[in-house]
Amino acid sequence: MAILRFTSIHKRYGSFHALKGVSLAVEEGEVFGLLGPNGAGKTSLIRIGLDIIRPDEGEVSLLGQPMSREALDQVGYLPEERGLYKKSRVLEVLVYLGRLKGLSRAEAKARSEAWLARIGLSEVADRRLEALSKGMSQKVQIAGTLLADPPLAVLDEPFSGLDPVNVELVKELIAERRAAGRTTVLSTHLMHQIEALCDRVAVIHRGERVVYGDIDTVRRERSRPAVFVRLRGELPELAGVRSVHARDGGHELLLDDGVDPPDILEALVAAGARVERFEEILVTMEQVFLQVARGEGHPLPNPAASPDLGAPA
Amino acid sequence: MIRPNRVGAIARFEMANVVKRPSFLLATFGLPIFLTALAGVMLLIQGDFLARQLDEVAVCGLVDEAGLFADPAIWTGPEDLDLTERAAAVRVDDGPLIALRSVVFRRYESVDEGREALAADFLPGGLYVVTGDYVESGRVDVFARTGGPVISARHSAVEPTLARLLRDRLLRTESEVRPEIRQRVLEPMELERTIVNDSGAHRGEAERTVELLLRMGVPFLLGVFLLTALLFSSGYLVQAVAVDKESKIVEVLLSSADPNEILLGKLLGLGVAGLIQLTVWGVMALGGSAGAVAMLSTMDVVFPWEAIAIAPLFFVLGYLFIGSLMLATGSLGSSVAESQKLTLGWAMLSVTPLMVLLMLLEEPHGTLGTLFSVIPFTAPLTLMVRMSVDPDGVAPSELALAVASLMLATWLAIRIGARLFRVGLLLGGSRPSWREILRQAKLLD
Repeated sequence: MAILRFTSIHKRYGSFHALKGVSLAVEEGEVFGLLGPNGAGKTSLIRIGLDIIRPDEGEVSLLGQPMSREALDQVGYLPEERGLYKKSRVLEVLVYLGRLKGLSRAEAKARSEAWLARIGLSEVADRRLEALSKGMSQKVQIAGTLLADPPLAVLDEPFSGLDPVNVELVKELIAERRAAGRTTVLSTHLMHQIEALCDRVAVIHRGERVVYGDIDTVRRERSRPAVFVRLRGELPELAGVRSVHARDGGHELLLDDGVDPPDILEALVAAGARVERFEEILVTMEQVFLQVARGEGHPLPNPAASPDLGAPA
Repeated sequence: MIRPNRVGAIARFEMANVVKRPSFLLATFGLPIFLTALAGVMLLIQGDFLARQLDEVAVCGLVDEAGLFADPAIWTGPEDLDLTERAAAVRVDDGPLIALRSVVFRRYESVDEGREALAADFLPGGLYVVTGDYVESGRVDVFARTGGPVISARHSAVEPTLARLLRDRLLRTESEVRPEIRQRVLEPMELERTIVNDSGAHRGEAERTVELLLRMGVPFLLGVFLLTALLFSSGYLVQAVAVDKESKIVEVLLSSADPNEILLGKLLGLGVAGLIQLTVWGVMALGGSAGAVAMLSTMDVVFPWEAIAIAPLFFVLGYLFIGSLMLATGSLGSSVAESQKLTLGWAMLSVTPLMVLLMLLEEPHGTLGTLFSVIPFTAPLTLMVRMSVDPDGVAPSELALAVASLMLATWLAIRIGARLFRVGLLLGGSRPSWREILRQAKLLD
């Protein structure tokens, strides 16, 4: 079931057409990456998905039903531009955020205390937020977002301001949510995190959805057929290989269109080659992102002409 | 559909945020003490100043072209004045004088001579010329120096005193006027007032004065109270929106609660904070004026209880209406200062009745009073004035209509205000055109 679905969304600000008929669906239980260059329209789309702003045209459904306040109670949101009441105390603010999501006061307090313990900040419960470091404040906000254990969480740049230890903590939290069948929409410019965490992605560019699908498919569609092989011995002559380039003690083989990498492995084995390493070369999400941002088509150029062509899949 | 538990959560949080602020505690408890002390000091200083002013004499010049003051017996010299009068009079020189009721008239033979003394600043009270055709025309020319005080307790007595002198001199030109008639012309009335109320009881002048003061003072004070409450509330409301914007929690709020709920929650929370403040001020004011209250209870005066009784209802309704407009427009400001400017207009509209208070006191149930009673901006204060002046003239249906119009206007203000509020909260940096704001709020196509 699509937990969040956008259908032909248009949004204009004055003469600026920010979203031009965007449609996409986030499936229940997945981690969905929402990407795009700055000003592409991601934030507008997220805001529309959370009923913060209204679209000029198009429809949004949340939890399989038309947008409603009851459905929005099932969503946690960590916006990119975020902050908390600086003069207030940590526990007070967390309880308030829980109350806004419909928790009773007692339940909100109990969950807040549990979350503070989970993120290692129990000792700052009675401190004012202005006394916390940026990273601590960031963790409090993530706790506030996930406090009510929402079936859908939208996390916009959740890693910003965090040290590597806390980045790992947030990744753990996202992984735990997926294991528990909870859905997470993740928007970040850290492409390796997208690759590590997301099941599917959409890339928005200039108000349009230009990439959409599961990560492997997106990367494969954007890559020229190529493999990296390292053998004991010489590389035999192979049919379907357009060119060969030496790299890192092995070879990159750029394949003819339509040639499937497993066919090459089969051919190598049939030719008696002793294969130490065989990997399909796919473009990274970062490269996909750059392609989109620069307005380049796909597939990517020849690996020899572009040493950063891709990474092993 | 507005969810009471969300409104309650927001109201509770906003109220706690305000009442815990040191500035709130200072304003609530410190401001009345400070203002009382300041008013006391100012009253003492001004009282002392006025007393000294009244002790002094006004010195002015008199040129008698009509010959009414020709009798040398009415003129005297500085040696016959008491010390205070002489102290002022000797500044002129030792010419002939008339001294009456702290006013000294120095005689000059011609206008030129008098103007010379005026130019030399010897005549702070001015130069009066009783013209040659005075008896026929009544004309008296007055010359005064530029740059004198705008108002002066000392100099305000000059012209009534001269008028009395002139009446006296005119009567003396007639030999047949009986002394008692002369006295009546000079002092036409010695008032002895008796007021009869509905129950037939008689009340004296003091009670009547106190009652008049109460009937005028109570609505005036209630108006000032309402304006103060609205101005303070405007500050809290604007500050609350500014904090939301600055702390960047706006999107989290808007994704968790409906703008109607946020607006109403803030209104109620900050309203309760304002109510706490007003209650503390009210209790302190009552405590401070306990003596006056005790005195009033012993006097036979009709206290405008009806106005006091409806005040809480109209305060709350007025606050909810004006406050919702303030929140909506305040959220559109790009800074606290701009937001404050955008909200002040609403507070001023609500105290319009104070600006036409004289008309309302004169004709409480006239066209203006009746019209203002159904306009949501002016209804609270107008009805308090009318109920204070003449409660019997306000029909229950008028009160009901005013309450209904205020409730309807508040509902509309919250509905429309919430749309603007949603757009306003998300605005950052420069503000788009009003047309674009209204379009985003879906108030325009």
